[in-house]
Amino acid sequence: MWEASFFLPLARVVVRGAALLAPRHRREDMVREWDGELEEEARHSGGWSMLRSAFGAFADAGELRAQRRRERETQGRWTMGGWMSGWGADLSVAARTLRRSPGFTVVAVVTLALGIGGSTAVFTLLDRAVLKPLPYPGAERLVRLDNQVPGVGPNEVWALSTAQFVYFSDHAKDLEAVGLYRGMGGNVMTPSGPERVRAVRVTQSMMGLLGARALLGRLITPDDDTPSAPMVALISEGFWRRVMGADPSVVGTTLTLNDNPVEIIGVMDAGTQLPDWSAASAPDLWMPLTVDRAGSFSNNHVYPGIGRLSPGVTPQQAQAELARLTPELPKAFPQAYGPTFFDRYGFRTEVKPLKDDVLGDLALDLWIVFGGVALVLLIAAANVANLFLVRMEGRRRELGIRSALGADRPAIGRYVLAEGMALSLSGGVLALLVAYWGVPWLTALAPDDLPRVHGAHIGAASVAFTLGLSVLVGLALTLYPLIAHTGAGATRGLSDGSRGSSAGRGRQRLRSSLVIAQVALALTLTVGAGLLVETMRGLRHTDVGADPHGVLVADLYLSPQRYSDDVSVWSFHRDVLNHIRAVPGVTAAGMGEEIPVAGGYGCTVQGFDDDAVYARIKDAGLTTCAGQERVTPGYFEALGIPVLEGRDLTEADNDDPTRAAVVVSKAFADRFWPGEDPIGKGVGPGGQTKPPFYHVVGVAGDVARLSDPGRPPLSQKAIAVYYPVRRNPDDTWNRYWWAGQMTLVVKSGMDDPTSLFPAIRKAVSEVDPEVPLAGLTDMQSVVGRATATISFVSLLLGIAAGVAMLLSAVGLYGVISYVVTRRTREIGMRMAIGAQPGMVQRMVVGSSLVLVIAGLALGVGLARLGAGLMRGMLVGVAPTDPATYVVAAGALVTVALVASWIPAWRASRVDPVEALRVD
Amino acid sequence: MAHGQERAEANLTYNGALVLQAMVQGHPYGFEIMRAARLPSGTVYPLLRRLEAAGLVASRWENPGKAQGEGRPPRRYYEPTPAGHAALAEARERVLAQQALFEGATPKAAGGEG
Repeated sequence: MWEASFFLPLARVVVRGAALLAPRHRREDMVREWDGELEEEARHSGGWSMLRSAFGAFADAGELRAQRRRERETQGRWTMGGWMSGWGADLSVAARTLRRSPGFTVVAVVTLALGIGGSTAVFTLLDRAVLKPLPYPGAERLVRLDNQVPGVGPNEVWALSTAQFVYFSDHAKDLEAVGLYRGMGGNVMTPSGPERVRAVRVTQSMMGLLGARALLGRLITPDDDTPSAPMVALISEGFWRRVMGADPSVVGTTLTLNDNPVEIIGVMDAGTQLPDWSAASAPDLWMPLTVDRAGSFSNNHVYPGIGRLSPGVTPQQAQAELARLTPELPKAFPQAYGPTFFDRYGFRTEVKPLKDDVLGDLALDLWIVFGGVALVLLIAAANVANLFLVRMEGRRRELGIRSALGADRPAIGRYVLAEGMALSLSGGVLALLVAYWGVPWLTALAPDDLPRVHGAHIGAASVAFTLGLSVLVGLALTLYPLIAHTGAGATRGLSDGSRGSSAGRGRQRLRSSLVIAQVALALTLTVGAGLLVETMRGLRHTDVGADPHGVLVADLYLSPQRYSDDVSVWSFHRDVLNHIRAVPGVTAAGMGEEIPVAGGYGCTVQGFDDDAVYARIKDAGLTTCAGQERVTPGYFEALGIPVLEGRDLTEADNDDPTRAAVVVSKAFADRFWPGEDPIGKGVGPGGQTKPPFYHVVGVAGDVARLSDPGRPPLSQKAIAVYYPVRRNPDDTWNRYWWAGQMTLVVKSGMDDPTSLFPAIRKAVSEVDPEVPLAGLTDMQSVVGRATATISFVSLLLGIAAGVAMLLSAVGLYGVISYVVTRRTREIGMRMAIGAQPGMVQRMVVGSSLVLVIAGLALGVGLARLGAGLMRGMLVGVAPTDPATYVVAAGALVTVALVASWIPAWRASRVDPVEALRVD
Repeated sequence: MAHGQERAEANLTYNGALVLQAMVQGHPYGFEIMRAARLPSGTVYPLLRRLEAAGLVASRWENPGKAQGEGRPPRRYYEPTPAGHAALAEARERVLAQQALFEGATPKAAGGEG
């Protein structure tokens, strides 16, 4: 019997393992009985047969488990714990039941997956861009500092001045730190030739504000931030890899920037980003922005500023403190601000959360799109709820039997819930797949300069969102069946085989209400999308004042060392333009400091030879500032900007700058000389009020400029004065007169003017091989970028509206089909007594039109609410635009007619004899 | 559980009948039933559970003192309930009729008896 003593413990382990599968309350008995069994076996049989027997315990445990499940299904008593533990069994039963009706299951799961998946995809973007904090330490305390200058004129939002930076850093207690930065372009000599780089100068305080990290070397320190310090720079990680070949010994070497030596002190980690610079335009170089406290200060508001609030301080409190400090500025910086400057223009420094500033309108845009996909989800859920209702109705008898057999209400409720949950959770899993594919697709569609959206991916938050949404949808699906099947009428299912019972009518009403709601929601979405399409159409036809077709655009930047005066700059521009004009296909070429749509046109004070202008502007509460732009001959022609009066600037105006000719925009002439002939009037650049003045020789058409934050694209005109490249030598105001940083515009007859680029690059290097060209694009893309966000949002809402319409049509089709099936007998009777097929069709289509019209009536109200939320995005179309509503409603009616005509046609082919024989 | 009982009776399987018959013939617990009916443990124990759930058999634990005296674990004894006896009687007829097939009787005669 050695075998028995060897096998017995082993067999006992097997039995105990099997017992784990049995319901807990039966384990003890089971093990006890099997121990007895094993003893007997040990005594009478051998070790091997005992072991074989022990494996029978698995079958035993399986049986006990199955019994437990059957008990739960039919006679489970209501306890919270018991109710919860029955879920697994119910879900698996539900899954098996659903597998047996694949048609219903596939349609329902796919519909839900589209709805939930779309919501998840947009939520992922929303989470990334809007909900997550900015990637800075203490990001919630970072604020944007801006100046609102409503009385100034063209540009009403000004950045900070160095004077404000110094004063606020020293005196504002509500701000822990203040930082300034400013982008600049530059040319760097690299082994492969001259390269145009984006550089940013930042105050030392920005290192801490941004949480900057150096990959190699060191960051900017206070020692670098003194006027006498040598020029140093950190290169970006991207630049280090791309241009420097990731050379680890780069720190300490010298770079030539605009012909100046700059020591590389470190490599900036790619994770260090400026808040409003998109990844596509990230800086290549980071350099110190040194503010010389002992030097002179000017009223020059060109430095974007950010600050960190002191702990516990709100932006409003900080703003109030800055408002108290602002009147002290003229005393502290008399050379920068006159005593009445701040009062006169309603100047006010604004403090707002940095995230709001970075996102701008994007937060609202994304919420609108999210609202759109949420409506699609509601429509999808309504469809599935309808299907589910029909299905549960078909199974009323089964559920009735269950409850007659003793299944109590919670057990039946749990079973119905389980089936709804099985559907919605399957939909949720598929939805994650939809979102997984959808998110990269969405970010690819999104404009490059859309902040924070790029790089979004499905993470834990998205998965949690999907799961939560799936559970909610599952609950919503089962709500009505739950009430209907566990309420007072639960057992009625047994006897209720007849049509038209009161419960049946209730369900029919519910189904109809769902269709009405769907139509209403679909109308809301369609109207929203329609209004945006209308906006886009308007924007596309907006006259930007220039003809963007066939215009190549590129940036060009001369070295200030080698082109230090306007004579050498002009000679370069003239020669390059003449070389370019000789390129086959080129019809015109010119350069200017700004181009329409993309250019902000700044705000530089102008002087006038007529004192009446000052008086008039002062009375109007405005300043004399305007966009002061230097342009070459050919600029207006290449951009297709018409010269409305007088003449264009010519080479002669530059070759002989004492001619002091100037062209103004129509808006400039209208503002400063309303009702007068501007030709011959005198203006002084930079606010110069004494002769010699420049004299107006022509008036150019108005162009659209880059819109201020919060204003719709293409809605603002540039108020501009266009000076020649060479300044009048008799003119004493010459501080900023350098036109070495220009945008080249080349007109051709080509659809893709960028194909001219190699020839143009060659033309430039023929004149100077060290001058790089950068930012190559074409004018149509420039205009497209201005409206890219609206176009993105309208595309997404358009897709949502299309899906919504389709789903509503499916829902309507389903309900009408069902009604027709239920009314087969009635229809047969009507036909038996002489109704014509056409009459039957009209009757069925008519009954669906009733639902659609009810839905439209409800939808108009909803759509007006939705359109009101979108007001800020709409340009040239009112949120109540009747045409859009009529077209959207018409489209829905058409789709609905098609959807209901199919069952109507089927109804009209009912064979009266067959119909009456049913049942 | 009238419904359940009726259904179980109607559905009493051949193995179920064997297990009941073994009990009736004085094999009251698992190991003996297995030997008498020549069925493996993986068949007998689940059947016992099913028959008990259907109300065809009842079980009780042996007095632990007695088992201890004999130096073995206590046994769980099973016996048919009245419903179990009825089901067995019905099954026996069916089984005997079926066995008659092997003994050369005509199917018609066997059917007539059932």
